[in-house]
Amino acid sequence: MLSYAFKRVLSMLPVAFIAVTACFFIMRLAPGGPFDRERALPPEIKANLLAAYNMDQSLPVQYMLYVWRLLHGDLGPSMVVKTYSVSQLLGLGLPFTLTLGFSAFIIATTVGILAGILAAVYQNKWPDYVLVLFVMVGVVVPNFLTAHLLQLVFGVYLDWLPAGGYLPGSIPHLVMPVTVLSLAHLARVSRLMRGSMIEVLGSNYVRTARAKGLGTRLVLARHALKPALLPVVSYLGPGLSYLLTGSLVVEQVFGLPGIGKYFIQAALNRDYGLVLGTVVLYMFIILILNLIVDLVYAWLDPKVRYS
Amino acid sequence: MAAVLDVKDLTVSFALHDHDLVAVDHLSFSVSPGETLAVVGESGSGKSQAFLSIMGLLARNGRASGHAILDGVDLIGLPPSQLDAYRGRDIAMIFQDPMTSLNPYLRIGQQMSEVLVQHKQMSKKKARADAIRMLDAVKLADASGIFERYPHECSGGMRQRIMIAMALLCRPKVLIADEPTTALDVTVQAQMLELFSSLTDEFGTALVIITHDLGVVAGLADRMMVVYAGRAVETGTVEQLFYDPHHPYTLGLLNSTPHVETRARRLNTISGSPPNLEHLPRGCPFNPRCAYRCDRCFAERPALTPFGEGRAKACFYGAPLVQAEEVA
Amino acid sequence: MAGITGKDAVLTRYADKLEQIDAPKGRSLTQDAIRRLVRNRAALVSIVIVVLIVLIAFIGPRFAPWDYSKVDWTSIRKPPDVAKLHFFGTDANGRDLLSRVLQGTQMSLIVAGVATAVSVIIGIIYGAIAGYFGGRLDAVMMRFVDVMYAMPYVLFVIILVVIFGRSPVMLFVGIGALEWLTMARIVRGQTLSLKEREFIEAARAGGARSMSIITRHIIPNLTGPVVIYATLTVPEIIITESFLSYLGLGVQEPQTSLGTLISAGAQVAESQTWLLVFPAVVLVTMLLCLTYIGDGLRDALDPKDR
Repeated sequence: MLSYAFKRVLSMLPVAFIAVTACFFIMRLAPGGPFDRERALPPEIKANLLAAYNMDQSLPVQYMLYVWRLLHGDLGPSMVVKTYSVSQLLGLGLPFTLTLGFSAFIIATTVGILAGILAAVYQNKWPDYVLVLFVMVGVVVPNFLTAHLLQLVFGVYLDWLPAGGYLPGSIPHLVMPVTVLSLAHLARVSRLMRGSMIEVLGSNYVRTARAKGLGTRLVLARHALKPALLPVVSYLGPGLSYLLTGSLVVEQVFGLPGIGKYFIQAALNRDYGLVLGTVVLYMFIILILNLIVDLVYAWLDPKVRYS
Repeated sequence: MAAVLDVKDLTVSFALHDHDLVAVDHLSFSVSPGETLAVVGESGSGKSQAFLSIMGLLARNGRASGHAILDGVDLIGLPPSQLDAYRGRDIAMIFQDPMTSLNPYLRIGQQMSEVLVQHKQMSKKKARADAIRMLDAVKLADASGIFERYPHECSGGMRQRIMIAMALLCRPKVLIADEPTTALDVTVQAQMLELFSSLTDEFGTALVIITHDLGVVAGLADRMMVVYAGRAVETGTVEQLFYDPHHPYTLGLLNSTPHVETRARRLNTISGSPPNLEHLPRGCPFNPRCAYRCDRCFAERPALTPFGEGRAKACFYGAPLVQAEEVA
Repeated sequence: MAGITGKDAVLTRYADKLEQIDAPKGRSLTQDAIRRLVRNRAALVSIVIVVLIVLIAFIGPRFAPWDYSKVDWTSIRKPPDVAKLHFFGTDANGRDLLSRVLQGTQMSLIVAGVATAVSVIIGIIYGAIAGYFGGRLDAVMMRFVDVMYAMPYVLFVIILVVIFGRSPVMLFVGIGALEWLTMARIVRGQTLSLKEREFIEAARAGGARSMSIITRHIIPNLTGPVVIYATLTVPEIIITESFLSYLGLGVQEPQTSLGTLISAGAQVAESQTWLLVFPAVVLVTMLLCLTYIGDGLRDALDPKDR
């Protein structure tokens, strides 16, 4: 298991390396690069950039310095904002985005797993039909649409919840954003769990467990649950990236103080210092989370754990 | 002697999208304590489904009716929660494919102990000791080591022995073995049959062995039942059916088993093809392939009728099929 | 990337089945699946609806009373008004919403079509190379795919758009270039298994024939997966494109797409609800139908999966 973990970490490195290198080259070589745009850059920005990218050095040295800076958490300067670096800007919004993202992730995953199990056990009876319908809606309707619809219905027409904005520590302000964000993930997780559980319940070893007279609860909890969870756990890695992408929109629609707002603004302003910096950060977060998910999977599956 | 398992008019049908398929049609038989009954038939003859229905393991669209009385309790129609009291404890079943019948995510020991904990309310320690003893009894080396292992660390033959051990933990009155040797090497098969034989002697378990292999029947069973198209066509002791079959299908099965001493240029087969359960012929379902048929066979379906000493057949043909001199 | 249609799972199962049987049987497996699909009522209705939408989107504008960029100064921000032939109402600039919705749908479909084609081509090439050369190269290429799978690829598309500007070409290529992963996996799997089978015979018969054997066997076996892949990818791309357009990074004025319309409509949804409702309904209907078709395909290819 330890060697497996070690190998996984090792395999992350080339990926991170490629990503960082790609970002570096995009920064330097893209058409309309930082130094030949139609609009002249304000002198402060130009000065920042020159300093940050050591334009006077050779390319390989620039690269080294870039990587060195990254390892120290310096994501470079913004193209548009004069006085703050990317890291500082992100630092303002990251804690919120991470909180939002993780809450949605945990809620959606837990509820999704339970719902999937329920639907599988009561296959083709009403809990199953309700879930399948819900999944269909949750998966098909884009999150920007659900965000606006919920905001309209609950925030404006019914006025049950605040339509946007955020006050520190206020739960009502978070209800809608977290719900919208969770929806798609919940739908996918529960659909996966349902399918996986149905398959496991039809397996030969579950048949043996039933033949032993163990009773439905034991068969489910001890024999079916863990094998059925495995595909769901595998999905959590990609699921998380979906969630992070979704948070962009949710923060925008509900006016929340996370990274999303900065990111979208940056994209619209063609501030690719900020855009790239954010993406590099996101990628690292996702790589690490994927590693964790991989390890959890390996721990659950005895064939991997004890090999 | 009173039968330990008495099955009467067992019928199993499956609801397909626009009609029902009858896989087992009014099957009746009984098993006495300590005896070994072989259930013989081609694939698709319904032999497995009959016993899966007794164990309450039918697929979602399956329905069973009739009676299967184990120790005075009719198992057919019992809801799973009530059935759980009997299966694993008084009646146990092992399946054809040992590679997939054990849970790959749990240790073997855990899968065995839980049976004892569930049915005998044993402590974990005692259950462990019992299980290891049983693993020993099925002639597995390093029983305590195996107890700690995962199924993927064991071979097919080992896994089947583990299954047998697991099934016998509560000393069930009836053990149903569905093609237990089909998925194993021939050499392992022989050992397995020996094992069955000694275990049933040692524990007094009645054994029902479902198979299509007459060699297995010859080596192990006391009585046998031949099944065709979901119905019993002949029953009796193994000697009776092997040397004096009274149903053309039984004869066909016996003839198509290659004999190691005869040099055959062509293997004998039963002419025709296996029956389509959705479109059975009128009258006797075997009539398309039968060399002894008469007009009555196309009009009426023969019922399983007792004759001789504890035998029964479902056939209109009156005479024995094999003359005394032809016995090979 | 695990899309809304779970196409990776569907395609992998299908491809696994194809791997195990010869090319002619593979074709009948597909025909069998098609027959089963046709029996699925929800999928059938969905196919009809999608075809209708596509037809209306592309032919409709010829018959529409108002052009999508024409301004009607007499009706600005007006709800649906049949007398003035503004069946869906007008937007803040006095443009007819129905025409704009038609144009938007057209745009979404075009992007989806082209991007799918791009991803199919890239996927086939990448997968064929990985499968053909095998060994180290294959391992590296596939590891890359595995990792890309977990990446937030929408963010990458955004990067591309930010850097290279908002041209439609960028949209097609950018989205397509990031969707090819599943196709690559399938093609690689097929190539690998074919390599094992055919090469052995070919080696015995005498080298030069191997290339034509591959082309003769890969192509027929590929049509099935490609069609299915395309059907399952289109809704994903529509969503991605809508998402981008919604953010303002997609299609540019005066062109519009469903995402842009929804974005504009959402801002004023309180007072001018029709501006949000109509494009939203069209988008959701299309996606719903495509998803039902995708589900139908999955059931048709692997009926036990219910």
